[in-house]
Amino acid sequence: MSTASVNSPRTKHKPSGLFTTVGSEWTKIWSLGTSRILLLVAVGLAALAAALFVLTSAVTTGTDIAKRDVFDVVSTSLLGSDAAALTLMVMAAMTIGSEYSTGMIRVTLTASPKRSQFLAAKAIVIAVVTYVVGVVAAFVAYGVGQLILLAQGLDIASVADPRILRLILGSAIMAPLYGLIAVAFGIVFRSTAGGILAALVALVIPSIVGWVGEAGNSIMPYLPGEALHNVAGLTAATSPYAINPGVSAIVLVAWVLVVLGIGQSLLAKRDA
Amino acid sequence: MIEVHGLTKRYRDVVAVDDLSFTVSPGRVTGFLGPNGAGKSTTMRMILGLDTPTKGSARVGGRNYRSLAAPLREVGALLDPAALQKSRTARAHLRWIAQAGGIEQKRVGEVLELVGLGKAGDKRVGEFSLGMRQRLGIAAALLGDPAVLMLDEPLNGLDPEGIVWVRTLLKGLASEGRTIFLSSHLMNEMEATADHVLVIGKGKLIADVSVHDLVRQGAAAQVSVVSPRASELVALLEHTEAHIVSGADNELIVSGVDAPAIGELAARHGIALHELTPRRPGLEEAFIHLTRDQVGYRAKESK
Repeated sequence: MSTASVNSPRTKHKPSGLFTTVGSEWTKIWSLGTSRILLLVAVGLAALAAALFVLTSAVTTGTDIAKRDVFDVVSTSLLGSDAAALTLMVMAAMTIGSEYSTGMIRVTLTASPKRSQFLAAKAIVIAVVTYVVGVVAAFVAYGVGQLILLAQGLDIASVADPRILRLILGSAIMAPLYGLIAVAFGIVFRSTAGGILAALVALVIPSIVGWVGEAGNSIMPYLPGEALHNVAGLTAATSPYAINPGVSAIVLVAWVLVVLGIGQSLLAKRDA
Repeated sequence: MIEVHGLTKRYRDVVAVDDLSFTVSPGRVTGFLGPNGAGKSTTMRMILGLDTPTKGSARVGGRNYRSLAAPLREVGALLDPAALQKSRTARAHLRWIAQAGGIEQKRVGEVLELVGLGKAGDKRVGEFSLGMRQRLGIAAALLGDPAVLMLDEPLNGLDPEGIVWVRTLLKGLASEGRTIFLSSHLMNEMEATADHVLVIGKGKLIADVSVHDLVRQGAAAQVSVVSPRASELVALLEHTEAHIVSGADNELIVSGVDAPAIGELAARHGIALHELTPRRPGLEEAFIHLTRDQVGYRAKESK
């Protein structure tokens, strides 16, 4: 038998490290019709929800918009950024869930057999894409709120104010936070629905802990929701949940690493 | 080269692959035959490091798949042509795989042309027929110009022209010294495609033979005889090793003795034969012949 022309130098080859896997995941997310649509939906929804919440705030908060602190108005408009974050969380869950539902995960793990490297690449791409789009959505939501203030001849809040900038950039962290939780649990449950459900549970845990009353005060700042509020500067200094925002940032990173670690431990040992 | 040693996969109470050992050599097309559920896909998934064997090992080019530095360059695989996200174009699908494997992007256009999807590259794969998805899957397997090609049921859903194309392609690749391993549950599909076959049933290896030998083994088994005095011939044959498989009108199907023996027996008793034909069954019948020896295999299979 002849072994003549096998592996002719026709195809150049680079070793496949984390960098190439990130490139592959990047191509995957941008070439998928559904994720491109959801990225646009996220930004559109941010604008819509911001307008809705700011315009109805007189009713929902009982205080007329003219009498409210401008910082509060910005924070209300940033509920639009939360709507975007939920959309981006769904998109993140779908990127991994549809790999399982179609069986494409096997193609992925054949091309990238180092599973921790694949998950790291997926997480990096989801984090970057959801944060960048989350920031765009937050700025859009903020802008919509300011337009409403302008239209009513009220004072606006400048992004030059570090408090406002921190609020916008901080709120946008919600998208990668819940997006990564959705990816990790999308792997755990091998489905989009499982990923979304787990992220929603993570989202409502602080409310449940809140019902316990003061007993929950000591753990509340260490839950993802309140840690995020601390980072964004949404927690009043007088609040029992207020802790150092630097510590809160570490808390958020720890949460993400823990859930990704759970995903990785199952991904590593289970049959694909 | 694919080397499998004592490969076993046990699910809770089912043994899907049972102590399987074989070698798939380069330079020829090796068929992996067995009915649905025989363990072919499970074996292939273990070779690719997707499923962890309960026992045993599978090596490609002397190494465990998951420890290969450049897996797509070593092995091209197609497990399921439907394993695609439908809203992506064919070109984008190949692009992300190429990137993951560290393969240069110009290869994407080359393999699309090679499988005849040059014009369909920018179509969404959701619009593809099963045949086109098979071609796309084969394109993906060829991206890394691999020394080993492993395809699970690649002829499924292909039109006759597509089947001829795959056969020609695989034979060409084998003649370049590559290892070609493809599975099928249709025996006669393999007859024209493979040089060598591994037959498995219930996760166990039943045969590891060349297609030529397998067909000849089956052929030796039966002879068709047509005679106006068939009933007399039956009486004579009953004193020999022969077994009458069937006898309708004047035609007998005989196994256990070969055509010359029957001819001479008839001649000694002055019985005229109108026809004496060694039956050349296809791989299908050879396979049935082979698996019939597996005690209880057929009965269990039909449950």
